[in-house]
Amino acid sequence: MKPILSIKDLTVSFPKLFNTITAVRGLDLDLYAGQITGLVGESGSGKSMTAAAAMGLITNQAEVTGNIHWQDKTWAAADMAKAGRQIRGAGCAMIFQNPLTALNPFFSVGQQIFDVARQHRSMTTIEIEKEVKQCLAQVHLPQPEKLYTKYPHELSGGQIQRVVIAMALICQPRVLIADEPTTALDVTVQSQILALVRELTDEKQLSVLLITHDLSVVATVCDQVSVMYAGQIVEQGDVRQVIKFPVHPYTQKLLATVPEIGNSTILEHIPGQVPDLGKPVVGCAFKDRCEKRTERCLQTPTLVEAEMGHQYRCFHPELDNLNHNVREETMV
Amino acid sequence: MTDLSLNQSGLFSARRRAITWHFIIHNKLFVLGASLFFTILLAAIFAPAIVPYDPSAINFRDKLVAPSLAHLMGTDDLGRDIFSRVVYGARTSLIVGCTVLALAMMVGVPIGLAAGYFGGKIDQVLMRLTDIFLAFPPMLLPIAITAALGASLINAMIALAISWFPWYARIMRSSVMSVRNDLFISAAQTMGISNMKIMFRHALPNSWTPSLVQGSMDFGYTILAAASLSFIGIGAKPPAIEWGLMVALSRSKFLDYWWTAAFPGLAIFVTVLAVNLVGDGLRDILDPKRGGGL
Amino acid sequence: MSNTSSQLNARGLSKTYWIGKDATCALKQIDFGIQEGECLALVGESGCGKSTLAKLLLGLENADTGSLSFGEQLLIDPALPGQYSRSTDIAMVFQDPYSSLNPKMRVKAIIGEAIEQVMLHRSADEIMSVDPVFFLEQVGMSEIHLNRFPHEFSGGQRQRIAIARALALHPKLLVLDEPTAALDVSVQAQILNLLKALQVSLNLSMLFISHDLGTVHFIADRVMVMYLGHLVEVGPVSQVLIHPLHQYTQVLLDSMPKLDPDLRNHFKPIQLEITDVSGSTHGCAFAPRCPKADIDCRQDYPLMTQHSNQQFAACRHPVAISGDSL
Repeated sequence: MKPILSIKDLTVSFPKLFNTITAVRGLDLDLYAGQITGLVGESGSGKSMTAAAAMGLITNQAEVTGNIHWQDKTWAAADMAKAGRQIRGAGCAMIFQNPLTALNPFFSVGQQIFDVARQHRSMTTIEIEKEVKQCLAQVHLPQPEKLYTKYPHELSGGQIQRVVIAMALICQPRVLIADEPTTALDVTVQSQILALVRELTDEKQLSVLLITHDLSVVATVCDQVSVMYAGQIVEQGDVRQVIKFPVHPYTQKLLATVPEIGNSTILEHIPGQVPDLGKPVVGCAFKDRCEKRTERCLQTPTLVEAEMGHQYRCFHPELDNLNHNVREETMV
Repeated sequence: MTDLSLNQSGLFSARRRAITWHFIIHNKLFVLGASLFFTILLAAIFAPAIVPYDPSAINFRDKLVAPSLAHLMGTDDLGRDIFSRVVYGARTSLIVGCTVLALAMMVGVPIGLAAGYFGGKIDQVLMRLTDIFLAFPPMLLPIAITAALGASLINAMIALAISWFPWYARIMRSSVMSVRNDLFISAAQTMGISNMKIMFRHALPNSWTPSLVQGSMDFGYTILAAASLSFIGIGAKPPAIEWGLMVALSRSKFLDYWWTAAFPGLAIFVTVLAVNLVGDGLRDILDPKRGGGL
Repeated sequence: MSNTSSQLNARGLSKTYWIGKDATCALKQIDFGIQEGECLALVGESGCGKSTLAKLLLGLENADTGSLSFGEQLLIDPALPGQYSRSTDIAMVFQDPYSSLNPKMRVKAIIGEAIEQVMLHRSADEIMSVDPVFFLEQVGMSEIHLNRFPHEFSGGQRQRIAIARALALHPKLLVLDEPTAALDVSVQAQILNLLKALQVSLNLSMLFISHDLGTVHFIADRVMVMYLGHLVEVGPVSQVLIHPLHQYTQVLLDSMPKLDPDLRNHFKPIQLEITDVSGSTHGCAFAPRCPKADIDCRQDYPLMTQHSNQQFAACRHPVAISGDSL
């Protein structure tokens, strides 16, 4: 299966007065149709930067290298800010974290979606209006006729997020990038939005990149997952494999820090802190916090495939974890 | 770039120099204004050492002499050296600027602090009282006050402070209101700390920068205002040395003897410009969106 | 539920916010108690209730009705509910570590201020230490952090400083309003472990407010579930979170994404949204969205009834122990 969007060797750095802060280091990521790929990491891991770079939303102060392959064309990542207009909105849509600031409070909901459609699609006014109402219905918003004229302040956070998704969908994108779309929402509303995204992905065969720090969200709704640490992907693969049988020490530790019902006596935590991204990284970025560290870790590990698309970046992976039965399950 | 690993922390270390240079490049106007202002300040402080003549020395023989090597800015109708008077005038203007602003802030800031912090009725009462003073046209109040108290520089300064304090009350009030809902204020309240302590220890240090910026921008205006009052005769009176007064006294003569008005006027212009540049620059430096903070 | 041996006792607390003539965010008739040394969690979704209750307990807002007492001291008198007498035994840790510390004060001054405050009320032998370093060490930091400003620290460290400041007040009860919501999951784990250790070593009682049920299961002994300002279920944490009684609790548990990918088929989002927040209905507040609601549910508010094992629920159709919603 060919990927719809392919990011190759992306590096994003911010030159400052005395040093350079490297947010993303040599990242490769592929997005496939009909799949939700979770990009998981803590703050400072570079996940939001990756999405912003892919959409050309990073400002001039950054140095971006690498390539983006999209619709049989390859673009240099550095050109995305200018070339981005062709991709943004039309083929690739993005939704953000805070629903309260996502919409312009001065215009009605319908008007804002209308404006987006007008930019990217050539239809008559009446056709666009119909399309807007259809999109509002697709995201399960009640009474699209009435909602068309409502203003953002009249809607709840969950409703606004659905409007934002409708706005993203109206241009019939192939790729949807969602940057922490449910972090600011209540858990019941979050569940609705996640179910909606899953439904839309399956129906329209979208490629979705879901950026989040919440591993449970990834486990529930994603097909593939990539775990980021200090600007690199340290483990990636099918979500059932990575979450149940993690191979990289960071992934293992990260999963152990999530408090879960029924698993409540001991909570592990990861000693130390995320490394300073302003200093060049020697060898493995996680070595200072890892129990398995050896001399070997001073060399730079590369992404190695364990099996069936499950990749990791470590010299001391927990390979016993890999359960060969999983292969049969995922094939079904 | 020079080797930054050595000499990291000395006063003139490479790191300090690089940071300073970076600051200068990105805040050119501020640096220009600050240098100018600093020069004027030094001139004011060291006036007695700088001036070639006694600014009050009357000398009818040399009256209305054009600018020359002996008198850099010429002399006025009483033969006094204008350069010396301009330099001494800097003292007056700077003192006026500082005093008026200090008085306005001393009254306005606590009012704004209390109004913003307590809200409700206290806010309403305080703000309506300050609005009374806002209602006066800027020149009318000083005229009325000096008419009542007599014309002098001190009365003019009091009058200006009275017209000015409402602005500081308002600015302070709005910046306190934005800080009021921050959690560290609530935290202090839950600790049982008294309102006075919270206002001065927590609210004030986090909300005073807009007032500071306003003050630095107003400094120029106060100098102008004081000069204007002197010009219309209700501010400084002779024998005070004040730029506005100098321009006023030269009113009948400056068409033929341009230097009697030009140099004091230029002094006002340059000082106000310098102070405005500093004010603008401060506002940009302290802008939270630029990562600023004092 | 709240008996006379409770350390903190709240009865009939209620609070309504008004915007013009519309009521929003009401707290209605809240009764509960916290035992000494116990960690009671308060869960519910955002919008209203949880933070308002915390504010009432700490006197940041005034109650409309109700009473509140801590030990022998009456904090809110039922005859004069609008007034609040502060207790020096209660301290609060806030949700946002980025704004709960004064950015212009150094750590030494921040903790020093709390110590200064405590010295006004307690005698010298009751005070553990007048040195801020003592409290910093209790939270795993040290004297090298004393002279720094809050912005020089990470979110997790700031929250530790906030906890140290609360500890310096020598409280018996800590009220924590979503203390880990703004933190990364690995940092959250550090803070939770710290809080659990402190609870044991200092015999602290805690009111732990959170929206995350997994966190609550780890740290709390008992849990209260709140919906639109009403308490709908209370009980020991393993009971409520594994065998919930109230339909809303069941819905919360079903909507929570789980860490096990094999459980994704059990992920059941609720169908309807909260449309009416003011809740002026007389019936159960959850009835409009409840899969089991009937006419009685919509007309009369269900009373909190005790079921087995100290578990209470205000529901006419509680989830059967055999699990009719699985």
